[in-house]
Amino acid sequence: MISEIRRQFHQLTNIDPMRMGGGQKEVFRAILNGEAVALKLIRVYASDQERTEREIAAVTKLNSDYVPEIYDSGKCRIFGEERNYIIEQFIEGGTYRQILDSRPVQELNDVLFLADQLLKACSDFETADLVHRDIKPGNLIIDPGGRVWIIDFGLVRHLDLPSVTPSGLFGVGTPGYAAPEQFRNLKFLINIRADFFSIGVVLYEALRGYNPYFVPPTNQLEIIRRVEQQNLPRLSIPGDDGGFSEFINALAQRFPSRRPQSAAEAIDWFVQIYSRLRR
Amino acid sequence: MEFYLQFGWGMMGLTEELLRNWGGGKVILSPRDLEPQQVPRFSQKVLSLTGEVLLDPQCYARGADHHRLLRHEYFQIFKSNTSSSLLTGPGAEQLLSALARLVAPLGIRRHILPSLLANTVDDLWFAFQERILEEALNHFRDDSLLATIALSSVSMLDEDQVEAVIDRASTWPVNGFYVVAESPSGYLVDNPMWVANLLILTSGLKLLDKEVVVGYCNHQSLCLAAANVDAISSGTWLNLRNFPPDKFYMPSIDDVSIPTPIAWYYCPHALSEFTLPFMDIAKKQNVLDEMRCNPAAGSNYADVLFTGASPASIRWGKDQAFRHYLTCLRSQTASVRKGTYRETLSSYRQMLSEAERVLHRFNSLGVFGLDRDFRNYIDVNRSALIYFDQARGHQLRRNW
Repeated sequence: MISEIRRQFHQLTNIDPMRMGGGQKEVFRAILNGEAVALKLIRVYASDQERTEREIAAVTKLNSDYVPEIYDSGKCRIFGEERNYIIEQFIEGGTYRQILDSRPVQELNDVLFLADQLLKACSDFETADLVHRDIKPGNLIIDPGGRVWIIDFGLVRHLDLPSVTPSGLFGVGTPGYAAPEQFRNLKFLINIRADFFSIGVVLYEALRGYNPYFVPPTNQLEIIRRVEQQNLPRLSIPGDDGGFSEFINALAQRFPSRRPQSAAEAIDWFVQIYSRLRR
Repeated sequence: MEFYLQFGWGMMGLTEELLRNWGGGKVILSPRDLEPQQVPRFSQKVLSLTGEVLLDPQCYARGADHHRLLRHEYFQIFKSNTSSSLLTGPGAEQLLSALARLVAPLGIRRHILPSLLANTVDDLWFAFQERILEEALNHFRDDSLLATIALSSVSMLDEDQVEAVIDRASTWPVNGFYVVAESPSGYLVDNPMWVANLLILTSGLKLLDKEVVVGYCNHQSLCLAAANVDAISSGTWLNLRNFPPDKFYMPSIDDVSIPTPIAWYYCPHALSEFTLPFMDIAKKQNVLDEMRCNPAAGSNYADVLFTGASPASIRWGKDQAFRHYLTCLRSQTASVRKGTYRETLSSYRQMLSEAERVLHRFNSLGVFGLDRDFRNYIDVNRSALIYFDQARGHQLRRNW
């Protein structure tokens, strides 16, 4: 496999697999012009082709400090099988999922810093008319400097293009992190507020030590039901004057009309909290 | 917050008098209570008194059969078209055409659009709303459109349905909304969730940067100032101070009851109404003067009750009572909204506390408002505001 990849991508050196076998995607670390890059090989399924192209188009048009840059993309053949490929900026570090698994309850200051970056990323998404739709700890990379990088735009929605999600009762997303309107496939309602919901749940989980929708453990349908029907109880956070917990609850409101209506509104609100609480 | 007159049966003279005293005002006309030929004549009268006229088409129920409603051409079209015709056929176009003909001579530039009462907020109800909107854009091109949102008491008690309305309404190309909400308990509402949902609904619509007018209100609706509502509307009889869908039907012979001509005195600082016999008790207990409204309320319609004689012995009837109530309510409506959300909420909470204090004193001396005594509703509004503040406070603190 590696030799085939070296043959196809002669511009890359030091190719090492990161994620192999099965699944839709294989990921390799490599060097391009002296810089570490990630090579992603995505199996081509006719039903997913447009979504893959939109994923690439989304990241290409995004101008964000919080999203790895795409250097090259296209199609190739690996052992006679057609694949989409993406060569993008490689980010050192682990996922936020790994961080939470090793230390479930995070410090307030660190979560504030995370919130600050995620909201700025949302501002970039909004400017580009995009909704990520799959923000969760597994799709956040924290680099050694503490910067957050948002990855996996496989479910991205371009607000200026017709939807590729099939119409019907159920939409896309990860149960427990995706906003109710996403699962109800209420396309007219899906905008940056859907990403706010996911961010709110991530922040809540980081401070609480667990995702409240997963407790007690249950199946995915029940998790979706909880997201639709339960209001999150207000957190009591040491060091918080109530402002941050109110903000998190607003982000994670199950009703879109009760969340901040734009990135500017969310940031404007958060900045005041951040300046009060940051140490 | 502005105050509109909700027109009803027998209100022509009263409307003219109040508009004259107030230097103008806005009136929501009711086809149920006006013959077709009266509509343009009365509209002209209102306009001549520096007033503005809106017309509520009252297409709330397909089965409505009130004889005066049926005399209006547009309502005949509404009734005679099938649901299918209204939704997908020529019915909506015919209805809006007829409405446009009715309002053309009235000088109306803000149009309340027809809407069915939503027993349940569902796709069918949305489909009807949006079909009407589609035609309205053709017939009232350059004018301001207010989409009617008429919700049954069942829908009003369901937070999910209320939010679904806000979500869908965010896509409608209108300038504002006219909200009417069926009460679950008659005149004053004893269910805090209903009040909270009305606050949530109207504030959610207002946060869409649109005008919001709430119809069929009473003094319990003063809390809507916290939702940043633009205007509330109220009238004389109780069926103009709460929204009873059955008023658009002809009463059966067995149901007809002769309304008892009781005059209720509205004490604004108690947020309560009292019958004259209880005002006699107040006089005997030396607290009658404490029931007198502040001159700033602008009403002298009840001054005669405080001249020394026993109130129940004074010829003071419903006509004076109606004028007094509406004048006081208009004054309270104008002053209840403050410069910020926090100030408005605080001010209204103080209004409730003051009413509670006053009523405690009156009640302890045997002066009761019976079923219009607001002591039973103070905690209803308080509870609703707490829930509402948790739901929307953070938004309204930033968008006022």
